[in-house]
Amino acid sequence: MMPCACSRGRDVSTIALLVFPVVVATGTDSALEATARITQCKDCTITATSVVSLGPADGPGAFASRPYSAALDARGRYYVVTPETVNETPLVFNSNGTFLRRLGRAGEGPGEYRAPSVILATRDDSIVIVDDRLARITVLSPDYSLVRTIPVPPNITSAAYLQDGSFIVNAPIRTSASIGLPLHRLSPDGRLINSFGAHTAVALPREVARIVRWFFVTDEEKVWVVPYAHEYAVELWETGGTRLKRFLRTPDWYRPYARYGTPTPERAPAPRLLGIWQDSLGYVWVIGHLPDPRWREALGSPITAEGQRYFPIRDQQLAYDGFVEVMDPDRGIPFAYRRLPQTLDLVVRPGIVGGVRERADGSLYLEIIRLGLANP
Amino acid sequence: MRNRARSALALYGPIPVLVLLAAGWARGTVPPASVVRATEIAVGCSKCSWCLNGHEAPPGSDQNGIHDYCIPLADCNGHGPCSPESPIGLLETQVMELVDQFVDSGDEEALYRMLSDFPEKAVLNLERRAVQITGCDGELVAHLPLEHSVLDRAVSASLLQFD
Repeated sequence: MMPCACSRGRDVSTIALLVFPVVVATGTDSALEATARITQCKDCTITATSVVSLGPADGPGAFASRPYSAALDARGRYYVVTPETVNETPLVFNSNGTFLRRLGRAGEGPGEYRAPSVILATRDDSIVIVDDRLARITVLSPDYSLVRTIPVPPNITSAAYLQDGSFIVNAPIRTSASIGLPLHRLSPDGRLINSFGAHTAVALPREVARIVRWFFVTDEEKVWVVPYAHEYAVELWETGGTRLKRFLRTPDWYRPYARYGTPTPERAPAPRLLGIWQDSLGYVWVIGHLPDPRWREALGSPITAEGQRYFPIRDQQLAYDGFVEVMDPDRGIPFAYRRLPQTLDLVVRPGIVGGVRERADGSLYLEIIRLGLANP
Repeated sequence: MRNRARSALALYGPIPVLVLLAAGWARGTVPPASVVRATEIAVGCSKCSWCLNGHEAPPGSDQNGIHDYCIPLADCNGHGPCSPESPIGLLETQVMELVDQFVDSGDEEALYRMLSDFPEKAVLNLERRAVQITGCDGELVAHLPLEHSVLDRAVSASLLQFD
């Protein structure tokens, strides 16, 4: 008998448990194993538990702008970066959400930051910080002393740190060998080793969202990948560039679309994916955004620029709902789905996600949410 | 502090993960900070987006500090001016129109014209079986894979140019 993949307990909030047909599933066919996994958890439901809130309304730990990335180390400390505001350094909070300190200071020297955009906590509690403006990675020891600074390509959206000190990053590298390919493996000193992550690599100036990926690196250094926009496709890659699996999902709530655009009163916000991970039992989790039924109420007054009307979203929570889906890794069969009234915006670590919220006074905070499976 | 957070969320919240990325596409293609002030806001880095690229906001503005935003707009088509007088834009308009023709309708003539009329901008990358387009900033901005038969015909058309 397989080990149970579910925690025991019941989540009494709204739950939608659905089993979807797989539309396209290629790659390793482990039908029996997949069936066993799903049978094991066919009645599982997804639990979502708010753990803590980070970011006070005011004071030194307040967010100057929207958090883009957060991490959690083994000591229970949370790390958050807010790159929309230049010269904001990474923030550190304890497990209760109390602000502890900032890392480094503003500047361009060692241990200094201009626009940290991605932050990671490694297995040994080292901290890895990608600075978008300085196009470099800073590695800190668990006591936050500077270990090394590595030049990297600009515009990194997501990153992972591998055991050998190398990195995988998602970025638009505009060389003849790499353009259009979303993922890049970098050596410990930042040199490009290889680019991969797309069978049909397309790059167009009008489709800036097409290159964005979220990914998770397994212990075997295989990479689960989802695109931010355009389609709900879950892929597994080897870092050498071989695609092992592809599961294309086309549920009613996420149909592939050609162009990513901002919403108008006639066009709902596009669905999008915000993260992926594989849990210790092998299940693959995906989070994302779907248009909230009230999305029209979220649109502000239109602004016209260069002949086009743009409707700023005045309330993210009115514009989007969050969703979580859990699938079997062998055939991509989803067996648990849950839609949440609030957004899930980033992955802190497997099973822990963050949702950016706005208080009535306009200040922002990050709600940390633990996701799990419950078998009633 | 609160105003800053509200301002960023209200104006730039819709597409958070794109902001840095899109800013990168535009980086180097917008006027220097001394030319454009953050208060002007609608700075087109292409027809499809607004950018605030590294501009120092004036004191008293609710956008304190240096900002680096780019907001892709709906129905973004990527066209943009590209000239010494207007150094904003990713790709020369004529080239972009040919790219659009080829992408939207598979018009191979547009591909051949790209290669023949703008050889310094559009080149075939045989190793990657694609046509690659250089933008106004001298870096690649587009990569379009070609089917085998299309690539073969494009190579033939290119060779004919030299006969």
